[in-house]
Amino acid sequence: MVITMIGVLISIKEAFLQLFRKPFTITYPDEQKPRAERFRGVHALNINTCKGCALCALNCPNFAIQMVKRPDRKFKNPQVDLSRCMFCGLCVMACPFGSLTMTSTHDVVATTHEELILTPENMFERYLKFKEIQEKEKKE
Amino acid sequence: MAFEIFSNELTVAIIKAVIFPGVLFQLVSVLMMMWFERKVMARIHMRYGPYYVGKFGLLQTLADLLKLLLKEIIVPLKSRKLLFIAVPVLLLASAFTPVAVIPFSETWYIFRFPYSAILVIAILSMVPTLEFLAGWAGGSKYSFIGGYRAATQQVSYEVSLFLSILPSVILAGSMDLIDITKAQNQYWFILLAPLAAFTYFVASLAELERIPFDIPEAESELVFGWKTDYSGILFGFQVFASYIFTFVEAALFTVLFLGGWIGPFLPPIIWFLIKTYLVFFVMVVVRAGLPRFRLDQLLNFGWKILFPLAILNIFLAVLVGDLILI
Repeated sequence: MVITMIGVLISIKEAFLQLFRKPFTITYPDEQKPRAERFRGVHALNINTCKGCALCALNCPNFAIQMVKRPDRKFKNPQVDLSRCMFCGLCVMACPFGSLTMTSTHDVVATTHEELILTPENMFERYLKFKEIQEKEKKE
Repeated sequence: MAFEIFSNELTVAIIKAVIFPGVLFQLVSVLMMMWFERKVMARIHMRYGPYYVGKFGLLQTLADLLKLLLKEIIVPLKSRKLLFIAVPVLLLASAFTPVAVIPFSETWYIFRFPYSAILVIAILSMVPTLEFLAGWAGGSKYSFIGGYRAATQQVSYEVSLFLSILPSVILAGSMDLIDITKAQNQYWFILLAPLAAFTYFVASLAELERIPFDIPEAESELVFGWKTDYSGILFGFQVFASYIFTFVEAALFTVLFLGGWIGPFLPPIIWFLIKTYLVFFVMVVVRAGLPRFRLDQLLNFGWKILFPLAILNIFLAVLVGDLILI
């Protein structure tokens, strides 16, 4: 019984000392853990260099990529259906011009199926944003 | 004539009952105590705890309360319906009652009574009955076993709790909580009767069913003990009642051993609240650091160690009182 009491006191002391430690977890949306260098997140597309060769669509194992024609564009551009995508990155490897890339964004939330389909314009926006972030990180 | 009934004293007492030591303050205090407990526990577990609702997550408990208010109250088909609904209300009422006699300062109490220590104890001893009734009224095996365990635990620790109040009563020579506080002007009773403070603290943890002694609601064995069948605001009433009881026991510890409102510089009410919440903080640290005891360990500890110690305390208190105070 005496040994138990000593153990109880020790564990209370340990609990008290634990108060002065920094939390191990992070406050997720406010601060995020750094991603790996070649992290495969949501796609981004540089529309200006895309020549519409459709190699990405051919290489996709899940048929998630569809080539769509926009009236103001000369070539067809890929459109990614994220509900089908498994983020394998084969499309990015297949792209001969390096215009299709993947960002570090991994949390995709949508209430409808339509929101999960990434149009070429949407992917171009993501491309520009991701470029800015990368340049900032390089400066730091 | 009608105005004489509402004499000045009575109006002040009603204001006290509604606002400061009474209902409104207790509501805010319970919400803050829950927030504080969750935050401290989280830091001990190396987490952040409540974070998003309000500054530092301060409004999280209020959001929880709103959720409980909006939820449907489900009364099980096999339960004793009147008793099932009556018990949480009675628990909350009996939790508010002892606040009336706790002296927050020399003048700030709702009413004074020469045997107020006994009054608090009498109300605290109603709790196991109510909890057993709640378990019985639920009509399921989990709540019944929980209620049975609650009765066993609380009845056996009540004895030690009441015996460890006696040293302070003997040293002060009065059962009035105000006189007990006044008697601690020179020495706090925790210095004269440290063993009594220890036994009181452990017994109060068992009375409150806080974590090292939360056998009646052991989640891994019984689903949630005698609270299993409750939902909505009836469950909220029980949580509120248990936190108000925690406040009352911490306040009683302050009055009996830590010199109540006595302290330099700050106003007496602030001193009282600081000491009370400090006792609550120790309770939270104990809760975060310890696992649950078994029922037989609990009863062995209660009857073989705590009870003899509590009786020894009384002799020690008489001795110390003879040697030091007189």
